[in-house]
Amino acid sequence: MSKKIIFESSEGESFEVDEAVALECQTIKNMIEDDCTDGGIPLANVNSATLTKVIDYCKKHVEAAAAAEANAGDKDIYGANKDIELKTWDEEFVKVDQPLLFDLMLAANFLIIPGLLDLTCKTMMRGKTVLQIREIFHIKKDYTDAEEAEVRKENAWAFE
Amino acid sequence: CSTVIQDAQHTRLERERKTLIFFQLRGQRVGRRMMPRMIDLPQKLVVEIFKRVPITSLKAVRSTCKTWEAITKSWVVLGAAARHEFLLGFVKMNNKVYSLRYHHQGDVSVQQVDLPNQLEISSMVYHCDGLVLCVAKDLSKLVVWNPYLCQSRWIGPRGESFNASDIYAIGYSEDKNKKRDHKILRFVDDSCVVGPVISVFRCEIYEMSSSDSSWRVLEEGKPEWEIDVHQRGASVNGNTYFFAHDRFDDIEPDADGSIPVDGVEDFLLCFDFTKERFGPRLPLPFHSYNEDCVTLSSFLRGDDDEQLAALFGGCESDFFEIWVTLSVEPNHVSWTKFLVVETGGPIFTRLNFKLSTYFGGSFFVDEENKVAVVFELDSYISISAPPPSQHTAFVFGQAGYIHSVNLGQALKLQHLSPYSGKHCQALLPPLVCSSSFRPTLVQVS
Repeated sequence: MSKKIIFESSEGESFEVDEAVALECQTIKNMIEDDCTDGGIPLANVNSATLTKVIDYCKKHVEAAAAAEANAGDKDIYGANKDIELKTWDEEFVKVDQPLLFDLMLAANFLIIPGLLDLTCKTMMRGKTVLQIREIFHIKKDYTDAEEAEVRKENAWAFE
Repeated sequence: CSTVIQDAQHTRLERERKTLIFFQLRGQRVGRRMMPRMIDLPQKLVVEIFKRVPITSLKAVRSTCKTWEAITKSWVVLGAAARHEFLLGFVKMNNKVYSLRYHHQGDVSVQQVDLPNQLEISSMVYHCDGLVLCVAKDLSKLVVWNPYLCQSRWIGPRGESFNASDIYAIGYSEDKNKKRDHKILRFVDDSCVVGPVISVFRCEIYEMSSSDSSWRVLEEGKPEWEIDVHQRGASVNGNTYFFAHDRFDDIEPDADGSIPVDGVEDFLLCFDFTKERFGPRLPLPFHSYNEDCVTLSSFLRGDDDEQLAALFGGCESDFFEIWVTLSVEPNHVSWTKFLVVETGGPIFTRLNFKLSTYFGGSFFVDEENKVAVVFELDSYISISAPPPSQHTAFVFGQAGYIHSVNLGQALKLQHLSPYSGKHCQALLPPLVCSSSFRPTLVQVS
């Protein structure tokens, strides 16, 4: 049986995961290498909802990597399909509300999960309107309407 | 002794653990109950987000607040990680500039860009290192535009006005510290223009950084080659490559007065912006003749490896081919075949695809996805008859894949012919700036 690692969320809830899954997090990997994970790892700034999602992400990517390795010999259309499948899965994975997306990004940054950090950062601002961006990041509009119109005009070349 | 080591190790691990918990608690104090605000995010994370915002979101990001506007004008971090998803460029259609967006799934879209003062441009738009060079329709000035910084500079001619037959290029020289000095080349060679031949040949250089803002004439003797006036160069690593051939007036005609097909050598020439001169003749992977279509384009291989592509379509043949370079330098080039498209099938008749001999066939390549996009007019053959001609992007992929994207109606406009020097009504194909746009902080105003 594979070794288990226990995470503890900010609410004090315990989550048991395979070591392989935990190793997806660079921060945890360092701790495992230093052998200081006994008795669980308290993650005081990651809540249960976020942690559940983070574990889902790591699990999926460990499974996908294992499947890719098993098929490494016959790299064909099947392999390519797998890639697309994982991409689609990722896209679905980040279809969450904005606060959770923020928490996922912060967790990915803190636990050092490069793939998840990339995915969440990418999703943060893409395809959003100015109003949406202001709302998401709590930014106050400091332009007059005329100034804003001028900025929009100047940058019209880059599409929306 | 071993106990001591164990103790020391234990202390270190305990310390690491405490540090980890400390950072977690500190993170919590930022007020995690509230929706986080941008200023609460670590600077590093903000940069990570900006890197992944494609340049197509520039308008939204800059319109958000003054701080972000200022940040994105002092950095080029925006879009760095999203560079491979989109190819952005510029197209000239109906004397106007359009920005072009190409997504790697094959969709092409354009949008008109307002140049400063509603400038109408004549024949060409050139692009290098984030700078766009346009020629005003009335030939009174050139405009260098840095879209990313929203800056432009108007440049007048050295003496009288510019000519319709001038050839231009924009490039840069680079010193040992990788500092770039941007320059414009104006190339005047009137021997192939109809009219009284006074045989002027001249190269002029305009330096963007120079304080006196004037053209400098280069010492160049009349060469044994010529560049056709409809030819546009392609910019690679700051230098511009041109398609050129032996001077027709130096060739001994056949008994019937025609120029022998094999008698004219065609080749590639590089204008080296550092040495400020044309390099040696470089080989082409095909042999063309007068009315064949030859156009050049540049593209990015990987992150920063600029390469050249050449399109060749024989005027009577039912195929065209695109070659790409494996390596390209001012005095060396090697080629490999990229794509051959048979244009004889029924689908081409339906799509009305035909390469136009002059001014047509501008293109770009998406090497990674093995796609080439050629810009042409559809129903080019029947310009006088309805339906009206459409500016069209033809997307060619592997295994005969093709589709076309309508970019809008082509208008018959007044046009000063570079050959005759006379005004005429003409439908001109769209012209694309091949290389993908990359933001730059080069000051032009």
